[in-house]
Amino acid sequence: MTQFQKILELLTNNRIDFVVVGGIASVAQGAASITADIDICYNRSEENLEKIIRSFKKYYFILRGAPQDLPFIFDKKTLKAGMNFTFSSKLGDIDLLGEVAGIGSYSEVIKKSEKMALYGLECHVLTIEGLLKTKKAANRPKDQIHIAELEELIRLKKN
Amino acid sequence: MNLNEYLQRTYNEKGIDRTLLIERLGWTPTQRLKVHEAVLRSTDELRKTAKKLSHDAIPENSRTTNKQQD
Repeated sequence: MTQFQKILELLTNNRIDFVVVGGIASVAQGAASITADIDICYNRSEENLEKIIRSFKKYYFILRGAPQDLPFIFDKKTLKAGMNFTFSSKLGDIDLLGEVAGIGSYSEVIKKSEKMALYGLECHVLTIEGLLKTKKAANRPKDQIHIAELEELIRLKKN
Repeated sequence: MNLNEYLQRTYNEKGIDRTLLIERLGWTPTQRLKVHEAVLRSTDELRKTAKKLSHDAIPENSRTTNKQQD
């Protein structure tokens, strides 16, 4: 099982710039959905990439679903060459997103986030409105129920 | 309250269970995440148990390897 708390501890303790997005953000905001992985939008600055590699390298990150013998090195060069990654690791399944559908890069995503205490750690978490934007942009069949849930959460919070 | 009234009160027009969400709105974000983790652990446990039961349901003398079947 993905070690959500441990991952957030590593991100915050190492002062990595990130925003929690996706399923875990929805759960933190009050949705009743279930997700097995954690989605993180990360700042793609040189310094932040270095911090990510330094903090997570020892947890054996591999590309999720890729053949076992596919050569892969989890380093700054690899992160720079790509944008969005789906990883498996000793900490579980982690998605690192340089861009979030419907919003954009980290600098845009952080504007649509709010600070929340998750396991006692101050984290930026995408707002319900931000989550709705991403789900509507992705517009997959499986997102329709999440969209309905997020819309109801907004309604309930207003009341 | 009859069943229809109950259903209308509980579920919105898109079938979303309001009572689940109202419950969660009363929790802190950390509590929400901890409940979520507990659900994931239970799901894992159910999966392992189902797998074991499926395996145990096969009569012992039928649990052959491919080599034996050849």
